[in-house]
Amino acid sequence: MAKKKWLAIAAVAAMVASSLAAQTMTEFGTPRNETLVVQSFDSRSSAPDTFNWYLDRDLWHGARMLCYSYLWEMDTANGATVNELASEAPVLLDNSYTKFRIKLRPGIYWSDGVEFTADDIIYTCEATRKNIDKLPGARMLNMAWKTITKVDNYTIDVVLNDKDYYFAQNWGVWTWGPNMLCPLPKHLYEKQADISQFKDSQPLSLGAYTLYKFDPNGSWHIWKLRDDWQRSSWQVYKKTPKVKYIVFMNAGPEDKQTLAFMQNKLDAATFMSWDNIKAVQKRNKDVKTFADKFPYFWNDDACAFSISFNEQKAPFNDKNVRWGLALVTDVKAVTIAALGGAFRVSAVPMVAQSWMKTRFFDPLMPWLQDFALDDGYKPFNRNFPEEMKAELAKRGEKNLPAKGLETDTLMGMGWWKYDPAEAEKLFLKAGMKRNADKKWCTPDGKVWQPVLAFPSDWHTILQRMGFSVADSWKKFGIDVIAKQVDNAEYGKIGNYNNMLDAYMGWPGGSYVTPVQFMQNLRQKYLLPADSNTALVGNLLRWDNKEADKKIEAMLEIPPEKPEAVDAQRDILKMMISDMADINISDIPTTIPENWHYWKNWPTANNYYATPLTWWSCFKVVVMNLEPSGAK
Amino acid sequence: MKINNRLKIGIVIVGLFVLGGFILPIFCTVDPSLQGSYMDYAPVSWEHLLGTDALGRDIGWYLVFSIRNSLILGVTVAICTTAIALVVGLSAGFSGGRYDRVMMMINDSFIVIPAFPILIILNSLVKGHASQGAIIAILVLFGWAWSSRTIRSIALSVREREFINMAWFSGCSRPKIIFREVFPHVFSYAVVGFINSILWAINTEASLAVLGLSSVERPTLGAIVYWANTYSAVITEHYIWIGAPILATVLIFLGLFLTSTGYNQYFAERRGHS
Amino acid sequence: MKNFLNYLWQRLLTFFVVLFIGISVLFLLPRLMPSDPIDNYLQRLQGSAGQALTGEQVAEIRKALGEMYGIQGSLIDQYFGYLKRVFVSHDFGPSLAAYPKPVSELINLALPWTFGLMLVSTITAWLLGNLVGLVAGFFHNRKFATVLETLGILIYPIPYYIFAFVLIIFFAFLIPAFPLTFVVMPGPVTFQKIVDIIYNSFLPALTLILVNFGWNVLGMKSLAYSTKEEGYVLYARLKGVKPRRIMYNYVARNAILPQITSLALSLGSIFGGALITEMLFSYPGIGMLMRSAISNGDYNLLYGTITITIVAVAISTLAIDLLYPLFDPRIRHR
Repeated sequence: MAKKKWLAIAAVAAMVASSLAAQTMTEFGTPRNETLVVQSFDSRSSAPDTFNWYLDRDLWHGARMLCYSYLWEMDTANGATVNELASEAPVLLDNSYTKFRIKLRPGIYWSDGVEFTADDIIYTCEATRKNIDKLPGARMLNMAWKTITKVDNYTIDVVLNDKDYYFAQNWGVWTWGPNMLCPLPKHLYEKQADISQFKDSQPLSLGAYTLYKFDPNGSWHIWKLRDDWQRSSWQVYKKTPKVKYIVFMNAGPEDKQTLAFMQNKLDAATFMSWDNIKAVQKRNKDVKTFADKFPYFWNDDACAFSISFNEQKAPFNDKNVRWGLALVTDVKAVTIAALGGAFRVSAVPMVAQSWMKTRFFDPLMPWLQDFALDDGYKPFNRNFPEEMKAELAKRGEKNLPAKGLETDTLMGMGWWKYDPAEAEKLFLKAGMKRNADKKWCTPDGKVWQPVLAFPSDWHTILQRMGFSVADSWKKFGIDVIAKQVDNAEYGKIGNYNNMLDAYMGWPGGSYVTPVQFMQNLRQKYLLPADSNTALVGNLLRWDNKEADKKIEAMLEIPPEKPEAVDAQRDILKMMISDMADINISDIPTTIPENWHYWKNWPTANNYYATPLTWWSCFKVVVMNLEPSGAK
Repeated sequence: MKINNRLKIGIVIVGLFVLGGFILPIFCTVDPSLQGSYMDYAPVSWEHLLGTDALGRDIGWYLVFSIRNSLILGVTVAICTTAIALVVGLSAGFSGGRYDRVMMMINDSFIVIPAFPILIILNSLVKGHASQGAIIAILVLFGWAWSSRTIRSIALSVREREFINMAWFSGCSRPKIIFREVFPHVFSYAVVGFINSILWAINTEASLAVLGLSSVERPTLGAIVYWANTYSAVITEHYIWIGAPILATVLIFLGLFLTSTGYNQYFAERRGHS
Repeated sequence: MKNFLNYLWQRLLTFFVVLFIGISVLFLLPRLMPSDPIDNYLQRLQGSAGQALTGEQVAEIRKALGEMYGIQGSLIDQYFGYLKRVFVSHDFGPSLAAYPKPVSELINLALPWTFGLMLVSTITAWLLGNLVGLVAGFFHNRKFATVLETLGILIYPIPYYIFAFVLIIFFAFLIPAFPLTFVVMPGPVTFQKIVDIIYNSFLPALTLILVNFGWNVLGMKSLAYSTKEEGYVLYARLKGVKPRRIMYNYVARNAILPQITSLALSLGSIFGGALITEMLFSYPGIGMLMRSAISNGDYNLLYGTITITIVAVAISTLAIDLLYPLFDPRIRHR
């Protein structure tokens, strides 16, 4: 009996499914060819009904790209600042870099029809300051400003506590999203008894989309184009958004996303392994990646993968050991195991975003090629990308970039040699010995068992790289312990850097400029080697007094002066000589995009914006998408 | 007496796995867990009977080592958990009274406390370097309580039977009664529990590996499934990679199951039942 | 009766001791865990603000969050506060990863989903498995039972993730009879919504039933096998009682006790959710909540979710101990 009932239900269900298929509607009841379906970055949202930016709000399900708006957005294809709510770049009122004037653009309206003005910004600053103890997200903003005054409806003067060379980025968008300020609608928030308890479940929008429906359990959010989107902040981009509904959803683990792509139920994913992308492409030719040429993926991310150490702990405190490890890391094998070699490697410990090339990489090349270790050994291998290409060609890869500039831009400008013989010398110099089994021992004769930590399943590329790095160290006779760690523990490993010896991660980021990364390498942040409290800076525990002076001096130079960049280059040289961080590559962003319903996604040949769906600049992609005409 | 087919097939399967798992590794020349020993995804050939995986490891050899390691792990865990469950369950159920309540208090505490957060804490304590012995200990710790409670329920009922009173009156000691009179009633259930524990240990070891508690670099059946799954072997149609360890697990389980039920049947037939 | 009351209060005492042990261990768990809510918050902040933070700012944020989350007091104070929350106020405070959302709100949203799915699949798998096991153990030449038994035995050892995923490929992809992802529109309960829920939950429930059914078959079969050799079964047979009646009235009733025990324990633990099912099917539930509480170091949410499981399992162990005589009148409390 029970079985018959199930069969009946199954039959009804099948009918429902097939009727849906005929009309090509989404599961959400919207016409498929008016809907963009995007896999969310964090799978499930833990606060799906909270859009009060200063609380723990939903972060990745669309609000930051479609609903909130910022004084200055960033064009992430070239690092330039774009005026969004502001009508021009911040005006410096004196040379101290602490007094700024913000000029707002008139004619931008909240989605309920009220105009956005200077009052909203001032209210946001003042109201969050009043409730600072109850608003987790208000801390940074309120540490920054001293006074804020209204000049007129569209002009505000701000006085800061400390000088800020990057006011537009700090008060607008740093690469992926707002840093400290997200304007609140004064007319809505001031009516609330306690804004620290106000979830703002139906947020007023300054962007072109408003929240349409969402799953209270956090699996999906649907956003709908505003009827009056021309009055939204998106007017400044002078493009017409053609997508009516945007769904941010959790389509499940990668395997399930793959099936969804094959069925054209998904338009864009976050990081997906290349194996799965290839499997999708085998069955759905409409799914494409950023480039049709190797390395196929977008490589201009704001962070770089590297191997970091606790450099206050023996034997990692010896640069010979760190250099030895760099020379026995078989990056060819590592990158192939992780992602078929589709990486842009970088020996310089910074992000190799394309606009960094002329500023840092080209000028550093001659120095790198001449650079020698203390024993005169020259470790740099400028030819690495060519060797990599030969290896990939052997494996059947046909679309490799041409020698010269194309290879430099797409596959990097070289890495360290793979040279176990030299590493052997460096290890011996550091007092390390091999025992009878050929395993490396520390100077006191114990077998050296360093722990290499890396993310577990939640970050598969780094996970694969981690296993592969451990494998290459093992082949050199190091009894390394490969340890996968969960998300939260991983955060703690980075913030404490005292529990383990080495970890794979992305500590180095440049975000338009390497200044943030460098200012954090100062001596004043160092704690004792085994300190059991969180580090607040210098997560590498890099102990170099000379570099410290250089960094302090560099921070005093306004960034637009050429001396600032010179100083940054010198600091990079010091990091390299010390092997402060074994930098491997930029983060390859393996995003498959589905051209079946929507076309004109950003590609290498049409690079109008970063192809990421989870940075605030995704709005630029949304505006540029065109319906393909599929029903 | 004729040996039935179930028993025959079961013994052959189990025998093949045990012999294969313990003898074949002697002939292996390359450490099967090292990456990049061969070209990745090499097809099936004489050189690689099951091909190679995404990391250039020979699937066939990896499988052989895995079967050995998983059998050692599974059987050890199963012996320990079944023994503890039997001792605790039978003695508590049979004795009753305060002893029963104290034992069940301990027992229930193990059932009540969730394993997953504890495993994460252990993981951070062992720094990803738990030895095979430690893994076995962890699995035993979390594996016995449930079956001991089910075994106790049988003992609760059996102790009220006539023949137990008979045994008491004829002056048998408590351990003797438990072993001679109660134990036979739980025997076949315990055997199934034993087989189940082997399977449970093999599969749980793989999930421990994901937490970093057990090293996925040591070949086990769970480790192959883990690797194949990480590289999406189902979607990318590398069916041998994902299929081989699963088939091996299913066959081991089937072999043990056939052996045990066949053995039951064999005994029943000898006694003339059914 | 006096015996029973005596047993009852002693048993209740151990119930509370077990509860107390469980709850106390739970209190200590996150304090020993390698993650905490502050580090987690900073990690999320770095995902939006990057390293634009200076060390001084990080230090200040750490201090402020410690105060806001209320994890600054001594361990003893926190412990008593926590006991009060569990036993008196039944409130677990705000979630620390979705501050200031109350933990109870998160749980209330997820619990009905978990409860519905797990209850249906656990009971179905149990009934089906025991029936098949009983028939297979009693008449070991029934074709139907042997086929189902073999099916159960073959599916049972397959790792759940792989099995469920293959089922998805078959029934949501190759033959798209069921949805790929779980989508049920929020809103009042209507007929349409119930249909949607069943349609969306069918595949997750089916996978759970199929993998759990094997163990019930195995257990019941072995029990039925040894029970049917008991003297009273032989006697009934000689007396000419119909085999079907022997199976239900003599064998099943005598063999069912351990199976009832494991059903009760399974029912108690359904509040833990089904993590892999929830991940694979994007099904809302407690499993994911617990998982994210652990990985975010969200103490309060962890306490809330796990306390429910602890209480439910403890109650189910108490309940079966009290109910045993119902299923087997020979059992006396002593």
